[in-house]
Amino acid sequence: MRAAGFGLSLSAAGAFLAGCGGGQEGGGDGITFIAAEEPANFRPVIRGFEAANRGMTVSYNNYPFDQLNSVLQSRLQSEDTSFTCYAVDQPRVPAFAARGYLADLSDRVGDVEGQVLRTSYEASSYDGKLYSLPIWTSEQVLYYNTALLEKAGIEPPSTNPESRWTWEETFSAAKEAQGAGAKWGLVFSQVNRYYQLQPLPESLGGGPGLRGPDLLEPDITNDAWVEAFEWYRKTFSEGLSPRGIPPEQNAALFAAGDVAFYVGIPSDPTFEEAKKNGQIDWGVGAHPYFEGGEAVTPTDSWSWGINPFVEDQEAALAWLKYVALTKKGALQGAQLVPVMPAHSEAFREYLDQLQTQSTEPDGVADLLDHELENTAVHRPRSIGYVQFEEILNTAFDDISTGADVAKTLQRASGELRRDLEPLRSALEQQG
Amino acid sequence: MTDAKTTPRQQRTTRRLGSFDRGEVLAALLFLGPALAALVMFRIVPAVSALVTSFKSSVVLVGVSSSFAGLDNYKTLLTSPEFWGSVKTTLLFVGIVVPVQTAAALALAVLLTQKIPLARVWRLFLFLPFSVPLGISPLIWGAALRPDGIVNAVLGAVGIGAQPFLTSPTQALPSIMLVVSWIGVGYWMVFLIAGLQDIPNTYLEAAAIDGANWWRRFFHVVLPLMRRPLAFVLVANTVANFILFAPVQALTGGGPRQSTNLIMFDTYQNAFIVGDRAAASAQVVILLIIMLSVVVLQFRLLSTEESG
Repeated sequence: MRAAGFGLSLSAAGAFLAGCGGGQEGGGDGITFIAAEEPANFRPVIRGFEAANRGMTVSYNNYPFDQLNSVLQSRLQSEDTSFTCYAVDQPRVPAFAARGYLADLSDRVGDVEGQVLRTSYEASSYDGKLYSLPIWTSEQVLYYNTALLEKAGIEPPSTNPESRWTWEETFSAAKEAQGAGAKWGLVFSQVNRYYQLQPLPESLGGGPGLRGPDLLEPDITNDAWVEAFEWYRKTFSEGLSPRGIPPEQNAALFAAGDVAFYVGIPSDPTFEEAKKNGQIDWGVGAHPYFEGGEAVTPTDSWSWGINPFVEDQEAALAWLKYVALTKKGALQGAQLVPVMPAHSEAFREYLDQLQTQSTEPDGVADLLDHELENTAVHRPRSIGYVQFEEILNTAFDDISTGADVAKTLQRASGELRRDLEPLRSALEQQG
Repeated sequence: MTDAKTTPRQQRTTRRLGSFDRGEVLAALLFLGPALAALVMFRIVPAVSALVTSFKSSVVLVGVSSSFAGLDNYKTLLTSPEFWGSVKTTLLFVGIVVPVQTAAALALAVLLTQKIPLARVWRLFLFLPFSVPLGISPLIWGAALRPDGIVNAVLGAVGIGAQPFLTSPTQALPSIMLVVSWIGVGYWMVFLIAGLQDIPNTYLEAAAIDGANWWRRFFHVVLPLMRRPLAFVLVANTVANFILFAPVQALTGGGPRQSTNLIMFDTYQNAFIVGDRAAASAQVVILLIIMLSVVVLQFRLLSTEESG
């Protein structure tokens, strides 16, 4: 009786351990891909790829954006081979490449530079090598609520980049709109995030916040940075912008008709939907700049890279090439997502389609073309970008809730310097 | 009067270790096996692994190996103002939340073990918040505490102005305490109710006959007999609040102005956002040391009158 009991528990333990061992094998003719998009958004492009490449299948796993980067870092740190390729946020390409998390694609994909937008090619490389293939790019425009501007007697901004408004003009117009009844004057879609706010100090010539040969030295306490963020702080302290609302909830505010001016991605599907339903009428103007400064817009989006720890990378490479380097694949990939394809020809077609849409005001396509060529800036291509973004986003949060700008930036600069120090010495060791 | 701790029956079964036979030892090990294995796999191994990782170098770049870095990570941590800030914030948080929650749980437990109507229903309602997953209740509270949220609407209705709550460096930590207590009080109350119900009525009746009023009965009969449940609640509550993470991640991200930057959140940032496993492991080891000290202290204070 006792022996039987012992034998039973032993076999149970054995079964348990056997079940644990051996993760899924990626590679071969099956491709395991990880990104942050809803599975439904990739169905067209996966179907397209599988139809064009009989015998290959794509297995897609998604994680919410906030978790994706940490999940990837954990798994790549453990040299996990259960996935073959993944989406990498373009500003993190240097950090991932330097840590050996991305396979070098330089001589394996033919001429990429000639097929994709210049900014996107730059964003997928590091240290002269191509570590990922660009899939999408992005821009930002100034939306306005037509009704609220009319009520306040404000002449709306235009999509002509030559006559774009200044941030100062936007601020006073927003105030006027609030005086005439608008609940909020000005809202940034990705409030308190570096992606959205980088143009502010850059417009005043303050630089991206990192300097030095490896972009590992903080530079966020110069006059331009302080001035830019004093302006930003005022948008909250003077009631133009609501405090404490997470970025994901801002689009709803504009779609509900509560906001006069909104800085966001072009052709936001929530807004198109709202316009079609008659909920709100909106127009678009060019992204503002600071008076006396340069016009600067944010850009970059996702690239896709290959897990270097996987032996057989050919199938994954075929998948990446289909979506990044064929016009058909690029259009399918961008079909259901509110971003723009990085493939040059696909981008042209995307712009043409945009112009024919009834919900889009005139000139938007030309504006986006112009911005990507002339005003777009990358986030700094530093291997310390992750720490940089984390610390700055926290600083922006504090500034939006009323903290003293100079003191906040000083403190953040100190913390950043300490956090980037080990990276600087590691690079020196690397030689 | 027999010692309330060990009845004659319990005294009989406490034998000397050497007096068990091998069959009984084997049976005991088999029954305890899974639990012991789980303890080793999920507690000991990760703790040792964290200790080992904490001695590795912080940065792992191609061509720079993950070498032994000695106490470098500890040095960096112990000279980092952000780390000390998180230690201070955590100690402040635990120092307020644990006594307040325990006192509230005890008060409610005492109240709801009296003969009042619907006591069971009240107990259920107080326990319900615990059944909401810890990742969800902060989100709901986050919406409620928004500047244009329902809590401010209620405050407005009674004449108190709208409060900044999670956007204020002075109100953010108390708001997190509120969310955590909403869940915790009902949960710990259940343990204390069990402890109260274990107290034989005869003791209280005897004390009443001797002329003790309610307060004296509470302090001289109830509390001493509640020492074990209270010790359990205090220690478990302390540990749970030391490693609190979910509400901070969901609601404040450590801000505003680091006012809610608890140690566990800071460690998570290091481990998973920045990807610096070694530094995060060092943080975890230090957290473990702080927690163990606090818990040992609590045990000492609570067991001073137990012997004899």
